[in-house]
Amino acid sequence: MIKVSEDFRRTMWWLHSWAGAGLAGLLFVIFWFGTLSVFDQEIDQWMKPELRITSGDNIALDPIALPQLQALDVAQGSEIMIVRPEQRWPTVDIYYTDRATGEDGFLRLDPHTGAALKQTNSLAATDFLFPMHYSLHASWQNIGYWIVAFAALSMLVLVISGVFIHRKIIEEFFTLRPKKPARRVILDLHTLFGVAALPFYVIMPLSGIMIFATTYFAGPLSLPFAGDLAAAERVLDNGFERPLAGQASTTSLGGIDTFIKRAEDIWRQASGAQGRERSDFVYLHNMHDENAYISVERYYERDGVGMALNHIAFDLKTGEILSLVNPTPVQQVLAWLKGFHFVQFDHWALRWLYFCGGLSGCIMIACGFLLWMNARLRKGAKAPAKVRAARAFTIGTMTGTLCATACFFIANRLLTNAAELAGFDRAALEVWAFFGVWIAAFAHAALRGRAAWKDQLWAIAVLTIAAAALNWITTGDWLMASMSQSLWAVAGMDIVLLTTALTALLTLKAMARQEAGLEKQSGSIGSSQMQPRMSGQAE
Amino acid sequence: MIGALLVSYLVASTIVALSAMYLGQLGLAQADGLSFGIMLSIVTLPILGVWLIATKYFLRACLVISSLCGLALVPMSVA
Repeated sequence: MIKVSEDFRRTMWWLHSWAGAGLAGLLFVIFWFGTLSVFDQEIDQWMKPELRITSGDNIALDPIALPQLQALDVAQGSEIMIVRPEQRWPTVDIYYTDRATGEDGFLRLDPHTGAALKQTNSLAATDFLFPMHYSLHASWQNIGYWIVAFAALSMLVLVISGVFIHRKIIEEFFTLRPKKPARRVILDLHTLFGVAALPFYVIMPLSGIMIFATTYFAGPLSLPFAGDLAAAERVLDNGFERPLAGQASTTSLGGIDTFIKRAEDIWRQASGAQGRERSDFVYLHNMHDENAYISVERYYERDGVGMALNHIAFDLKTGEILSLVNPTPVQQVLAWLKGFHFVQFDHWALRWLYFCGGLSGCIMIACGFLLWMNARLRKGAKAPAKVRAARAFTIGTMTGTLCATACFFIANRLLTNAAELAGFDRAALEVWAFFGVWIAAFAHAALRGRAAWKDQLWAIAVLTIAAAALNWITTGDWLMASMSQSLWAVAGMDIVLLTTALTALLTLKAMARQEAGLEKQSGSIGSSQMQPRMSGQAE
Repeated sequence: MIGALLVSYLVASTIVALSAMYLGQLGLAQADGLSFGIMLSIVTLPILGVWLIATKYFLRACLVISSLCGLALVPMSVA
């Protein structure tokens, strides 16, 4: 038990209640999309059927990427990035920027044949759900990043104040009274899920803010670099830059795998361990220039939590090492914290634990929000409009977000690449489906009042089952078929969709049981004055 | 709460600026100085925020802290 003065506890209570109520909706959205982002690449495999290929960690790039790279007619000084295939991301991806035209291009190659794959035009999880988590897709002046940072900081404040307001935090952790009135059950769930993953709720917002520190502290960080933020970022990321010579080179790109092997051998020798010192990206800089160079980068440790930040740059013509950078000690601590947030390590049990941690955060926030709203409902008989608005906001934020996400998946399975409406292509239409359903969920909650809970829970159940069924119809990969082909990402996604449907149905059943209990209780008391209180409890 | 967070942000910015400018001169690698500043400032933010909200002398505390930050930041910006 933490001994603090009553004054301090009251201040913390006020802070916890109002900061929580004000930001619960935003925090729920950030947590929900963060939870989905734990499996963003797996969701991409579900949404983009061309990614349903089994691949490996050590696929040679020369036979796969070289013919395509040589066919790319990019101007002198152009930049190319190659993403190496691995267990979670099976294809060889090539991104390039043509210096002459300024145009960006992208190729996705089959890791076995090298053939360019037909791409599904969808933002999917890596380009829609994941950015929702950290920027809310609000790009004007980076406003989304600032809103999320404010929410993350408030989350830390909420956690600190939450610890202080609970007198018996250990005792409360072991308390769950499922047969008590809904208000009590919600409070118990809020405390239970709040305490269960408390370290997770501290380190995730903390590390999240650190990832985008260059956005939030652009001014102070660029002070030693005469205001040049890019220079500060280069130092923080161990970046290396070699200027263009301006002279065309006649040397052709002979091979990439030799450089990868040399870099990985150097890292292996330096670490003295037999770990997987595997590179993630290969950059080809200053193409067709005398100063062309290749940079092999190891971004994530894979067999560890942290980010690796190992970069080696070789002269493309002579093979000479131009730069060999390993993280410095303090930089390693920061890289560990960032890696903890990025969840790029190869440990499936831990990945699922992250997913559960994220879900428990969603439940904790939702229960806290419900507690606050129920208290307002009990007091708010005189202000029905405010109560209705608060309830609509709560329902739209929670069940509405889940409905919108399910519709995003359904739109992805229903639309074809040729789909176009009012000038919007398939990717845009999927996003419109998401936001359209989300707005509709808020409007529905405002119109239907308390009944919207049930309606939207039914909608979640139906929509998630429909999404799994549509995956089967459009690709033929139903659950057992995916499992028999070792397409674990697709099978996992279907299982999560069906589990969500089941959870929604069980919640409906629990709500019906609570209401039946309340009606029985109300009937035995026979007091009509109890009714407003009961409806508040049943929320 | 917003006021407390703004003052905390000012303190955090000062920490980042001080680390970025001076830790390198104390023999630490520049990347280390920047990383240290980022970590320390972000840990400071919520703790200071909560403390400011809980204190009885909120305005006085904000005034003193802001003045100190101003004293540290202005010469650096000019330099």
